Amino acid sequence: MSRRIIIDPVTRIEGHAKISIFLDDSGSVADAWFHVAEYRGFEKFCEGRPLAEMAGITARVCGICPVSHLLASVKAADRILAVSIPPAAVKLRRLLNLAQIVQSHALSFFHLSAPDLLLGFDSEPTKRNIFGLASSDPETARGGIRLRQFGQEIIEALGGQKIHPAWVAPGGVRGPLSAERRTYLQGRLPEAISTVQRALGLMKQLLDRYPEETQSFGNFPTLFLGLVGPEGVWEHYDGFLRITDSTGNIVADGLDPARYQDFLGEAVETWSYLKSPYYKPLGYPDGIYRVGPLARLNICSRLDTPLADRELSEYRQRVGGAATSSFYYHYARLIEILTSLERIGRLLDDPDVLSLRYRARAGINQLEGVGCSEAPRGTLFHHYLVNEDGLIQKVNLLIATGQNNLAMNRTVAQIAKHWIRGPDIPEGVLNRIEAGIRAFDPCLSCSTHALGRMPLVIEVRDSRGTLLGTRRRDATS
Amino acid sequence: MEKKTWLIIGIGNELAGDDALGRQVVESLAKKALPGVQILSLPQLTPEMTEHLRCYEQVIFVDADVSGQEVALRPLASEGIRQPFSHLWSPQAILALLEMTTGSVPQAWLATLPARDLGFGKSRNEFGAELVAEAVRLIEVLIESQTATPRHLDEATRTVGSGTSK
Amino acid sequence: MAVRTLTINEKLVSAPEGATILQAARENGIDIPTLCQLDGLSTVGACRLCLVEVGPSGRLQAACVTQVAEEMVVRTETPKLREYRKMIIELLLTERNHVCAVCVANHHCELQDLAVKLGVDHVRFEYLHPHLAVDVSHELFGIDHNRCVLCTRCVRICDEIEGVHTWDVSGRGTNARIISDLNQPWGESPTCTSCGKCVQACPTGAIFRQGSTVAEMEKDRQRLRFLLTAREKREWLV
Ligand code: SF4
Ligand code: FES
Repeated sequence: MSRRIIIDPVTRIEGHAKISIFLDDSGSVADAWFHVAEYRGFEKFCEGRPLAEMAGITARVCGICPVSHLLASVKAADRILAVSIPPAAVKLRRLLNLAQIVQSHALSFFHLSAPDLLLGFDSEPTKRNIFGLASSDPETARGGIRLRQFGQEIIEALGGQKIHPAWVAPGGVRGPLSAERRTYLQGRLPEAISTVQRALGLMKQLLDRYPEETQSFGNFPTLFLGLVGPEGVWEHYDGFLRITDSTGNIVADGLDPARYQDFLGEAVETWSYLKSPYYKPLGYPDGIYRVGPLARLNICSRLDTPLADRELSEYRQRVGGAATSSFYYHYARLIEILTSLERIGRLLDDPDVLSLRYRARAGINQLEGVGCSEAPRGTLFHHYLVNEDGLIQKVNLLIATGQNNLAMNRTVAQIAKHWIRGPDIPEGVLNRIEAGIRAFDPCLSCSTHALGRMPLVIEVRDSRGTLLGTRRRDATS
Repeated sequence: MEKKTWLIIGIGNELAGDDALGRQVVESLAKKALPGVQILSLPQLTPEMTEHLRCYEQVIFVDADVSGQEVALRPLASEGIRQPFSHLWSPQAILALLEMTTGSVPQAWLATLPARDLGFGKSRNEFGAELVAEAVRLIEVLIESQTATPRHLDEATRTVGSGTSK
Repeated sequence: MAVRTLTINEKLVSAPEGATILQAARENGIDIPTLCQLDGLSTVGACRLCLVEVGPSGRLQAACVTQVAEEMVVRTETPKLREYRKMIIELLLTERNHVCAVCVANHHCELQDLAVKLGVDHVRFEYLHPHLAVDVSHELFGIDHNRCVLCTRCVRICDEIEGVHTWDVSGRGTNARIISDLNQPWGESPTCTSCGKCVQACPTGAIFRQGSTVAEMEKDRQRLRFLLTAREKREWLV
């Protein structure tokens, strides 16, 4: 008789994720799934809307990374207007995306994952949160809070509001940075850099502390996909797609994101609303790939900023060339914060960010456009078809969390197989499963709204679906 | 960085009935433009708020309270809830986090207004205006009494947590 | 000019003969909510938001089209009026698809402002969710019927100020639509001069500048006043 264990995070908001673990007769884990039962039909209700409104509408896909959707959306719109946007607009958009990466990565690392990493996966659950972190390492906790705030302040200085800034527009942006804000932001940069350098120091110590987690948290070969710039330099806004394998070999390079449908397929599974994209030449599910910080560091030749490049070579030594364990997402995230900060510094020094030539105006010149950018969580595609007047006929969104879907499933299965022995699951093991998903920083409300721990409901059922027992873990307990 | 004197934060969802009362209080205080008083009106507290609090000597949180019977104003210590749950941060939790990360906290008070209905929509409390006026009065009295006999800050408190965001 | 004396909200006021209740009230600093009324255009009494109670029986009259009379007694703020005004806004919201969060006129919309001012925090009626078109065939402007409240300000400004009468209304009741010329795409209109007056006159995001993104469509009503003063008084006050 095989048993099924369901871990169901109950949230008060729209995101629902659930983990089902299947036990075989001997009580060992046979398989595990990570389901996303969230469907909001964005692609449908965009139909018929004017192109210019798409950025504002799709920014509502996510309250956590609206900036990423804004950028992918306006880039698709740029294609449809067939304009090459003013240089100042490119720089301002880049600044916005880097700020988004900083604030999002800071939240993921300092607020959500650091408590597990610094205090231990088996530490007292009531202390395993930002307070526990603040009392054991106040400097890291405060640095993290201020780092996230710094990212938010840049977004605010540009977009006027933190959530859903409608400041990016087809053809460019809606306004420049003010000289006063620029000076202020420049002043905050050194502190932000030292915060992340300190965290990197801690991260390296932690790697030695968690050899077992490193081995079991989604450690398997996959492809890695992301944007790279000229000479394969780390990229977040423009460029071409590169795909590498788990040994670091380049499988495909110089791929035009606009032709993503030629090389990426989307499989639909009945157990999840997330589509599962794969690399077509290898088929489904062998074409499994990962996106996000881990992938971006694996595919790039260098970061092209001095401090971060030094960290990258050390990272590559430690992970052995290409990183295959999802545990390294955290490490990669910190290095990405560092290079983002260095690049923010460069952009703030550029007089163009104050320029008044920031938006190109044009009519509808193409009927199709694909916009691609790197969201904090990975590569994001917006694909629009419009009619002659610019009204949306069809929309396809390929989101980062979707592309990591297959890898997240395997990660859950791997952790479950490694740590679970029978239907009695210790809290520390539950926490590891949750942390395994959290390593990807999936864009689900459940993963970010519970600042300490995800609320979980575990159901143990036998093969006929009879409930054998329930275990509940609330976020507050 | 020289600390400013008073920060008054109204917290609540403007579309959750009486939950908005705290914000109504700070909005009417804002109209009075009291010298040395900074007003913030927010739907909720976030960890980043600690970085604002740091810059003030005195802070008053104004919030609606479903268990309260009358308008109350009491000193607030950072003790108490240290467990963050979901995305709701209490004033105590923010103070606790601030204390842990910087070693000092401003003198703090919590003004609460009794809430009856937190249902969707604007507050329909017929006593709302009175409650708000009462809270405003209490806060003004507090500020006046504190300003008359200024709290003596030792130099240590003044320097901790400064040195950034110059 | 003959003067009429009347009471508005227990206050004795005077107004020139032929003035409307709305004008008399505004002259005396009494605010009455309006939507279809726009200074300088003819009045049509289409939206009924300016309803006031007249006389001892409290007869409901639209203030924008009712002339003052001697010893008239007017009340502009009663529980009944507040309730009716609120209901009118709710009905407008249910009739078409107003999605403020992603609307080009978010934060710059008279309908939204009225809803806030009148305390519309619920809509008690069922939404009709009609399927309506967006016409962006014009090179500079677009019209989204989802956001139209049929105030006819565009129709009147086009006819009375620009003088070309591109806009009109077709159909009745819920089938009423603003149309350009002989119900053809705006971009094919032989009469439209692309002056943009209707864009400024429209209280919502229904008529907008092409390429506007969320909350970007700010309307400048001062432009209309400037134009009227220039027309009528030959004064170009900027
Ligand atoms: S388009 Fe605008 S101005 Fe014309 S009737 Fe509709 S809401 Fe009024
Ligand atoms: S303003 Fe009088 S009816 Fe519209």
